Amino acid sequence: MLKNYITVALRSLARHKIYSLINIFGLAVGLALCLIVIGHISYELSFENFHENKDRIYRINLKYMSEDTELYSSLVMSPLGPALRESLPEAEKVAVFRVIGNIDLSIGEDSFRERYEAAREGFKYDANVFCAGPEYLEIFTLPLVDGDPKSALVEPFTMLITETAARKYFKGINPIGQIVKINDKITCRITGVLKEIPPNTQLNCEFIVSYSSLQHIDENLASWEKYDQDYVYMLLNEDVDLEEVEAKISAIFESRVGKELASRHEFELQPLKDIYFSYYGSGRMGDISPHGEISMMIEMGVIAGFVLLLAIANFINLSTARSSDRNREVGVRKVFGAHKIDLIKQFIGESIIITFIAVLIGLLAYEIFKIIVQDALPRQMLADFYNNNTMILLIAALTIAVGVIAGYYPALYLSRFRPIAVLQGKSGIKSSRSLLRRGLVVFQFTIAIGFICSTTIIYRQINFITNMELGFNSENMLVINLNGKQAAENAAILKNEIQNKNKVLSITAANAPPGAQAYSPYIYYKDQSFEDSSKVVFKKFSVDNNFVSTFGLEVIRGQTFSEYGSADGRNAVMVTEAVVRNLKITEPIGHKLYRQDGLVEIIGVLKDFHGTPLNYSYKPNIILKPEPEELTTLAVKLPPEDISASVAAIKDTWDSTFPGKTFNYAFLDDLIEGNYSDDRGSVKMFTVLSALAILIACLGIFGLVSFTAEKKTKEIGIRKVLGASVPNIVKMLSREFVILIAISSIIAWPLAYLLMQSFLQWFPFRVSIGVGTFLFTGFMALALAMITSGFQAVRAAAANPVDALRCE
Amino acid sequence: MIDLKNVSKCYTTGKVNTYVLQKINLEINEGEFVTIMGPSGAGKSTLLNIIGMLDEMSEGKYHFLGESVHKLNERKRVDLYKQFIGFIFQSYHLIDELTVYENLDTPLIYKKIKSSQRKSMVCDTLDRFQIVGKKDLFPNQLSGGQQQLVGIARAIIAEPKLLLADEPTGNLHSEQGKEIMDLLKKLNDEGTTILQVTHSEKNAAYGNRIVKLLDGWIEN
Repeated sequence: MLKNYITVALRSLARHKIYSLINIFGLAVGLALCLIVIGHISYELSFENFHENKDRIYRINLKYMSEDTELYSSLVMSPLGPALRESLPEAEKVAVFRVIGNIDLSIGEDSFRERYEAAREGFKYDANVFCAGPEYLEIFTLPLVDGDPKSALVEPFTMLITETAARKYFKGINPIGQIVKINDKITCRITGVLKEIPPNTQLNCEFIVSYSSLQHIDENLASWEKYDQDYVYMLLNEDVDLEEVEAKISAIFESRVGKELASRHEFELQPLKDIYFSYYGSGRMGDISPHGEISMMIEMGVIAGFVLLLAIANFINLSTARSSDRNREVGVRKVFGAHKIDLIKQFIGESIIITFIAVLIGLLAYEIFKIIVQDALPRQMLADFYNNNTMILLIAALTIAVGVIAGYYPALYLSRFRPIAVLQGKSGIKSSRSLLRRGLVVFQFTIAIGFICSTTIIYRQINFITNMELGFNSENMLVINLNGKQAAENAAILKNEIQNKNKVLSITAANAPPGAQAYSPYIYYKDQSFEDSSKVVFKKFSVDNNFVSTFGLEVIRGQTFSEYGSADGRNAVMVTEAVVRNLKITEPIGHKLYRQDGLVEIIGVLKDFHGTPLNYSYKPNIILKPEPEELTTLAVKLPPEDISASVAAIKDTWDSTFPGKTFNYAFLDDLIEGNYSDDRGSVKMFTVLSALAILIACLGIFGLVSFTAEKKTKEIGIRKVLGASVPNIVKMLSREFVILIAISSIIAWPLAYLLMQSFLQWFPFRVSIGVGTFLFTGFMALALAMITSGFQAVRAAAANPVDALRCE
Repeated sequence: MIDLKNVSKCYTTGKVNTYVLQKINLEINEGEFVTIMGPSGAGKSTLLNIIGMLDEMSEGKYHFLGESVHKLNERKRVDLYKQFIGFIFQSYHLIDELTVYENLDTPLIYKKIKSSQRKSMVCDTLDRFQIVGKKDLFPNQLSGGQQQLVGIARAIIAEPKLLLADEPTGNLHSEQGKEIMDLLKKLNDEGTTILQVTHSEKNAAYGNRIVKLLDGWIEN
């Protein structure tokens, strides 16, 4: 029986190529999107799954409270780990480690400047070098391919290298025994090789230096007051009460530091599996990249689900539309003994087969997509389906579910045919359920119009903020970010060198250039009360005297630092107009602002400029004289002619100043643009999705017009005999869709409006949502639908009426 | 075998009842070859469909091989006709997507006959109708006469006791029509009860009894 069904299904697919193509294509698109989402979600959920002890591993997070700050950190003070190892019986093992990141490595002659990314988030590491003790290898599942895990990481100045890094840095030479110099300071000997670390872990590194090495270089190792030192991950015994353990940790902490200090700290145990998804942006210190975003996953899932629903709606529309192709078969089968249930099974089976074909195409599309996006994505984000039984089962379940959902109504509809009526040449259906079909079309166009509306508004918003006048000069501005312990000193040296050797318009040193970085809060109080009500939060720039002129900022009142004189500059600040507005002060010059540690005086007021990216919460800017170690970024204004020669000349200066170190730079315009890459990505994603949605919906219209034309063959024939013209008939056939699309628009507009309202809430500066956008999208959907339906309608209308009437 | 008592069929359109069949009393014994004749609209096909259990009657009683058909639910009715009745249609009604072989196979599948047994039954039938060479062709590759041959083969493959034929030669030219009628006669001689609907006196002559219908009544 099954074979018979499959044969019929495949032959009927082959016979009705256009219908089959529309059905399979639509489902394939929807399923491909779903597969991408499933692939992404399953990859994200697989993080840290390979650790055998994953269910018993916990990280200690810290909450620090003082009078004016609350601080969350996943880093803790260095002595805590050893103390717990000693006094916490519930912990089977305690691993203390730190991420060094951003470092210079020297191996023999070569030196590698670890990739440095202008970090957008406040605390982002390039987690390439870790520092850990031997327990690290016992808690986590990180086997060695060479070397002894027991003795590795015990001796100071020894290190492990991963297989990948060994290939990268040693190119076939046995790395064991090789010497690696870190930051020109520590020299380590490689004592083992770690088996390749899977990519789906936050603990991905290239080197692990023995923790004991730190005793010789880190003077804070015994300090209970520095809370941003190390990560502590513990392997707890089974069935421990977490709250009890947390209390014990606090008690142990208190026994070491005393009641007063202990009362300001709280400890929390976080299960390993939760860490990946608990990312607080810059709200918690020390979070390791990469991290997962559940809300993003849900968003993607919902969108892909909608597109799939559109395709399913098409399937239902088209299957019922082409019912007259099948009803004779249904009649014959019934006459020869098929029960209704046999036919339902047959038709659902067919839709599962079609879904299966669509899944195969979807899987192919998934693989192609994976290759295409491989380079565009910052990291691997999509799972491998084939060696994963759960995935294969899930895809099988998806196939059957979609097949059944899509096939259920057509199966009921088709199996309802009464055999005698069918065999006598009547349609065999007592009443046509066009309400459902109309409902499905309205549903499809509501989604499609909603997508187009949203896309248009997102696009306009992103254009709006990227074209906004920033209030400062960013053109031809080269940004050089220095780091490491002597970053500020090196920056000063480099600044001098460039001033002496290169032809530049202007150069300034600052903590950060305007526009490139998310805001870092800087809290002041309007008066000495230190009340919350007088608290004002600013974006802070620590700058040298050239900042204002280099960036072309306009001074409205008062003086700049250079005019004010540098002698007492430390207590002087410049503010933007917005600060004055926020503080509600009438005479800003000479006004004093208070901090916990002292007061500053306003010496100048600048015209407003956008110091933070425009998709972040907006804060007024405050500009102050720096602590010397803050000036780690140089901004160089290049002459507009021959930029690349100027960059090359500055690189020469760099190379002669810091021989052997890699020159990293960026243009400020690129950095600013980089802030919106996520948003531009969303625009792209939504454009593609809208296009797919409208395409699938139009295919649905195509099916519906075919259906109507088929149903009305006789009517069309009679009307033509009575003198109706082709345009009359086309109008008759298309009128319904105009009404349906109007209804869809009316439903879609308020939904899109609400959705976009909440989307725009994220932006401090936003476009207004005009009526035009909505009218435009409705009109566009209508036009596309008219084109699609017109094609079929004209064909039906142009047919010879004699043919239509003869078949009756 | 068939026993109709006071069977009527009416359609209701608005408030008007239109009777297609009125108080039909008909008895058909095993082995008979009965012809139903009458002008268009007399209710011939409706009567045939009621006997074939594809249509329901509005009033009356119908006993088939001792079963009270009028009391059966749809499922039981399907099981009953699937076991004992074969159908032949004027326009053949083969399934276009299936080959000759597969068309013959279909009724056996619904009778839940085992695959090996089905195979031998289909082969026997192909043999008997001398259409072995056409078994892999699709209906649209056959002539009308050949299609009707397959239609008959499909109708009798499960060895029904009763064969219902609705104008079996209506779409065929006379030579093909004669072959089909000879075949039906032969089947009747081998013991199959046949009930046919036809306009043709020539075809009626193949049977041994004629029932004449006029405006829903049996003419006496």
